[in-house]
Amino acid sequence: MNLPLLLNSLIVSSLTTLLAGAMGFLVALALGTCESRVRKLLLLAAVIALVLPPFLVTNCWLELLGNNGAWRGWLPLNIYSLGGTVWLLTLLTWPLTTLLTLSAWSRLEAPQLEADSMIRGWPLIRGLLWPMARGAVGQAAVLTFVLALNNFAVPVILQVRVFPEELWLAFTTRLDEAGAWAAAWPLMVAPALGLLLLRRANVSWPNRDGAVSGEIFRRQLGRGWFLGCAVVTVLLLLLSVALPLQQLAASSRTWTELPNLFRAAPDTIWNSFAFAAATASLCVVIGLVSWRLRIGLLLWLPFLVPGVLLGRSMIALFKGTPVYGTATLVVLAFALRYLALAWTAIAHARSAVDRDVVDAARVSGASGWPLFRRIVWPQIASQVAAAWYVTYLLCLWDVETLVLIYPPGGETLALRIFNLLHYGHNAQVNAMCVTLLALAVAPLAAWSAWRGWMSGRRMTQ
Amino acid sequence: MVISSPPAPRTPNSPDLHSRVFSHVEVIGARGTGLGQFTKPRSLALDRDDNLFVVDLTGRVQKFSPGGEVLSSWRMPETDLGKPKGMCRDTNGNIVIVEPHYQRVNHFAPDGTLVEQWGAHGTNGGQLVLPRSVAANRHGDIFVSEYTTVDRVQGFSANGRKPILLFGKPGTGNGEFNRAEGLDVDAQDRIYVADSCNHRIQIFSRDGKWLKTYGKAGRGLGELSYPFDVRVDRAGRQYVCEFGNSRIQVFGTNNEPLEIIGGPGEQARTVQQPLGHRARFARQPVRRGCRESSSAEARGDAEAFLWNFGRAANRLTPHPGPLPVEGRGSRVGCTSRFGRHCAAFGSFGPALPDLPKRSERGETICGIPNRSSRPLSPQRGEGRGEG
Repeated sequence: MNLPLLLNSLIVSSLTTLLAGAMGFLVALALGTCESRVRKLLLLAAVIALVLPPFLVTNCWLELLGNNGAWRGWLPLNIYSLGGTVWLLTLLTWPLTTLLTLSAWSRLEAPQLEADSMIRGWPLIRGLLWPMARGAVGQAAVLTFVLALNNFAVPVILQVRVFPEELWLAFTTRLDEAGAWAAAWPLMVAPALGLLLLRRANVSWPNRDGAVSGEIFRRQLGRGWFLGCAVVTVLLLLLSVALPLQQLAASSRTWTELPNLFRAAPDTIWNSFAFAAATASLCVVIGLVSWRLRIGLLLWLPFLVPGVLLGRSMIALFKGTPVYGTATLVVLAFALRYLALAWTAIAHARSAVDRDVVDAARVSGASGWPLFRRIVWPQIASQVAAAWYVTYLLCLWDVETLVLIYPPGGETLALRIFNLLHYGHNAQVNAMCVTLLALAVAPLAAWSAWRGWMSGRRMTQ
Repeated sequence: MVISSPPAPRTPNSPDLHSRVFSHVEVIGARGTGLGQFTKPRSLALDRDDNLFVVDLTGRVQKFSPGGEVLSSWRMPETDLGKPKGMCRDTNGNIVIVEPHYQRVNHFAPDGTLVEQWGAHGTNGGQLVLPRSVAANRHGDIFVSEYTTVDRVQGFSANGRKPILLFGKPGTGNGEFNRAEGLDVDAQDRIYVADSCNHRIQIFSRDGKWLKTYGKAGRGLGELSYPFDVRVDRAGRQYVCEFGNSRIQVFGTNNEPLEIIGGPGEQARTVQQPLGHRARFARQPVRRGCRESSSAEARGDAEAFLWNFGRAANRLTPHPGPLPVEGRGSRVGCTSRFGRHCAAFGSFGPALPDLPKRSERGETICGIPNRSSRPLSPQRGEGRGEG
């Protein structure tokens, strides 16, 4: 085992966890002080920060702080470093802490905050807010640590040697399969430990409106803390969302390279969409069929291990079969990796179906498909759609799982970007990121168009 | 894969290749770390005796006889920072290998002895940033393509390796590059640059003056998708390896597209030809087909090597009879590399200036007017596979 690389990985993961945790907590404080409308907007921005393609963010910061970076003249920071890796991973993962912390504070009640008007600021945080959010912050920290530990694409692009890359080299270059598996145990133990720690976690989506009004929260938090958290929030959203999107849109090469992209690499665009859509659909079907089984915790393991290990496992399982070297293998690998998210959401939605309504329908004679279609489905449709969409997004941006198993001609946009970014910022990557974003938004646009059409149809009938 | 012009030895398993230029394909090597095996072959070169040299991602250079037997191997001195990339042969018969991450150029004798090593890191003229490809002209000058901080081609003298030429900058205009990956020099000392992310080939004079640009993004005949290398044979035919389309495209002396060889996967592929005659690329005896190719090696005897990534070398053998195209054949080799494919390039355009009517060895050079081909008059050595 390469101990220096393992140490690198641990340092990157630990620092990312600390930084993302601290920033995420401060942003959660800021969101708590906001009224409903602003809170929803900021929550949306945090979600966007979480789901932005990592390549988009990496490409942006390479253009700013890379060798020819626009900011290098006055900000002599080297993005090609451990610190640069920590910075980028922090920008990608801080929303985890924010969202989980807000979900913990959804149990907050106004009387708790107003019990003693003298308890404000730091005493309030230490005595009430932190104890209430401690578990959620811990869960976010575990998730962030494991995701940062397993992340392969960002460090490789920044030419920082980390342990998952060592495994990749062992598998693909040295062809030392046995050695790679023997050395991989830290990257399997960490997710397993994480699962043990999270097995009793009760994770819920943060309320869009908050349990306590923003005014009360802001008053009790105090002006100093409010201003400080607000500044951190604005800066973080600017750096992790606004800047990458602005850099993408403002660069003329982004748009001039688009036609060439469609001419030169249409297959990559289709592959990206097809793999993601097929996997998301498969995961949803599996979730709907198997939601009663007690497999939720197990399903998280493939999500938390490095994609390189998962890809290698798929090769070992399917080599010699007709599936090997085909697009089917990619879809199966993706499904195995991301099933946990869809399955958990669908299982939660099915469990929450109103039993009284179902029973009443059964008494009226409904069963099977009509029961599902008319009674169950309307209650779970939005969660199922959300599960499909999240799985779709994650597949769209996957590189680690795909890099070892994609078939000839099966390259995706994400993989192409990864290859092009390996030697620094490239204008073509902007065009690819725009296309990736378009693919990401396409299902939402299709959904909105379909709903609009259905509404119009109902009105005319 | 070896695409060969002279009637190279053909093994019983050599699949037929219905190509205007080549007759069949042979496979050399397999995936692995043993002798005669490859792990992500990156580049190749041929010495004066037609021995094949291949460098792979383990930093190992292997030497193969013209028959495909492994003769020897050696390792690059250092590989911690990165692995070697471009290769060519210099006028002394040494094998030249660039190391991008060490910003240096190595000259090895055919027996593996390091005879010369030069290069220094930097963006100034004469220094190297990330050298990717290397080529030598008949005077012994060495040309190197680079990108990342810069996007350019530099030339270094045969004696003393002094910088003698520097051209190119990032961009999409003529004379500008977007990841200049592959490089070659023809018999007239014209420099061909595979401008990969601009999906085109650019041609420059010996003093770096822009002459012509071919290619546009696409998948059709004459179109390109991330060309990663280009080689020019003595007849002036060009062979381009394309990352985006997993293929090689052969172009004539007027840069008109002749045919496409290969495609992604292991199935028989369609070979497209200008006259619409469709042929099938024979199934290869390895699991995966033309997956990624990144560099080419051209020789006067029309033999082309095309690698599959992580697998064998494949040799395509040209037709033993008179070639339907001008001049003698040329030897072209393309190595595959992870994520890189063979490509087509080019579009019809005016004839290159200074193109001689006769080759150095007396063959008649014919263009292909109106996209039709015509056989050459029989000449000594023509189409007989002599180098």
